[in-house]
Amino acid sequence: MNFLHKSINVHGSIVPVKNIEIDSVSTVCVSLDKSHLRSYLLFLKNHVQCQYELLTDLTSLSDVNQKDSSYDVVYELLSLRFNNRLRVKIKAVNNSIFTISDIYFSANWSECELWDMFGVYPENHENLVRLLTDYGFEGHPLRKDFPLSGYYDVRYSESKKRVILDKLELSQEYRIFDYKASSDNRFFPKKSC
Amino acid sequence: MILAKKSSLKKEIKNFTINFGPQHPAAHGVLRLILELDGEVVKRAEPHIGLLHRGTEKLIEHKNYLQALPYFDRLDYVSMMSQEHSYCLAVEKLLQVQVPKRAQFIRVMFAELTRILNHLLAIGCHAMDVGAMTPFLWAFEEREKLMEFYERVSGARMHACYFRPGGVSCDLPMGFLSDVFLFLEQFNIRLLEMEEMLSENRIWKQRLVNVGVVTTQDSYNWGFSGVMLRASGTYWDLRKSQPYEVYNKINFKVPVTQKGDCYDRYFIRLAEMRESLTIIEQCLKNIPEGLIKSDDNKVISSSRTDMKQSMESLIHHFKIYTQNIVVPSNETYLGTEAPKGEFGVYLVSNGTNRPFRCKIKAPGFNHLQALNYMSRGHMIADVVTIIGTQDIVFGEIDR
Repeated sequence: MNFLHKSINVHGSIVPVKNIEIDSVSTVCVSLDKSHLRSYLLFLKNHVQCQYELLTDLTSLSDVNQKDSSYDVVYELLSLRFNNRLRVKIKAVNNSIFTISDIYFSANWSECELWDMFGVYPENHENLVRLLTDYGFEGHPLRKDFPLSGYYDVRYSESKKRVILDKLELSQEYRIFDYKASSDNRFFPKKSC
Repeated sequence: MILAKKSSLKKEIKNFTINFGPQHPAAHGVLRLILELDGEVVKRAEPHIGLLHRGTEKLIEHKNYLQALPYFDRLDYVSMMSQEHSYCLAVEKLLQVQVPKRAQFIRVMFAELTRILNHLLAIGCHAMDVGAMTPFLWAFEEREKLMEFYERVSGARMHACYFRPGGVSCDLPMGFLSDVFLFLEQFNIRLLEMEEMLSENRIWKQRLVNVGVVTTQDSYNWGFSGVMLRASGTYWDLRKSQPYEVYNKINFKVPVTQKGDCYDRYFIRLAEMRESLTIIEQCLKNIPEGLIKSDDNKVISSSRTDMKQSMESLIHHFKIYTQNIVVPSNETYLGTEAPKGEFGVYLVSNGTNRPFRCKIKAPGFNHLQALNYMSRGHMIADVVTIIGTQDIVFGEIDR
């Protein structure tokens, strides 16, 4: 436990933090309401005792237990000064968050990716484009309800002499072998989080 | 006669917008750049990415932990094992499995061989982008030797799939370490040759010095890592600051330069290759005998000989290769110092045999994002230099 981990408890008095978790490898995870995110990140970036100047990663995931339909958005911060990582989590209520691309420039593309892959809309983003998917793509592929094989097939049509978008037809359905009810789970009691 | 007003005769000067790529040898793969030019000066460079998007993260969610591993080779296809490394460490962290010392040394050795492999391509291709053909050919000859090492341990030249959660897939073949030593001896000279060719070369310096300067503050803002961060004057290397495997037992230096231009980054890559050589040398000296996989039966399968002898081992082997590892529900972010920068894996498990979510943090994604900032105000030919110095590989950016 370094001094930052101790001071993290102080953060609760600065912003209304919902939950602070320290996992087995001493990464701190702070979850809070999305409306306080921007001010909290500004604090983390600029405060002398934080200096989380790098946003290493920005991603999203749906609820692990599949209970809640809204997405978690995860910000991985890195402080070079104190050699420390911090994870900030918010719930994207109504599938929207506030952009932080003016605080961390590197969030710009990551937020585009968030929109592209999950349909989580970053409000006030200045240049929101579909980044990774094809021009004119519909849907948000990393959502759990999006099928792995997708809906469309891009292929070259010999008769039309051009590349066409076709409804996907598979000769065999994609098979999912679900081991969720595996007996091996008894060795690992489910952690409540 | 029609009298034209003087004002209507004024020439409208518009900026010129050109399309660079997706198929262009200097675009390092499939980068589509929209360049807005004022004469020959770049006003805006807008990268369009995603042409190599294969949905790796989605695919990983549908595969078990071992099947997900080969996807990591195919992300950044010039530093294959470094990415396996991040993933294996992340899985091990979730499982809290200890890796035996020998396996750790083997991994560090291969991570550094991979660093040389990557930097050779980076410098070689960068040199070719700005017009020097020869270093590229020299670099590829050395890369071939390194890929032979890959082939000897795993059977594949590039997509090795050699690191596994819990260790490495098999032990080093006979005489491997002495061959690595022979490689190290001659590679020093190859490095010198390359340095002689480029470092004081007039054209090379004209093309690289003061091009694509990144200040320290901006390197933080854009989320840079690795070489890009160190060239801008930050002493930061995950191998030193958050050591994994046996890096804390190994002596090596972290090269840092202050100016942050393309020439500095070239120098850092050269110096890092030298440091990699010393790391590999220390690995050769200190590598112990012993196991190359963890002895945790929940993670690794039984040995081949046991499998032929005992029924239980056969069942265990079958179980491991069909169901594979079951990881308790937890989440972790693990970043390692890949050749291009910090390669991170954010892994969320939910107590089944498949990752619930696997976010891949690619260093190149953040670097390419800053292309507009780095190339603004430069000539169009410098854009090629900047793409080269960022060491872009599309496999990892598009994922």
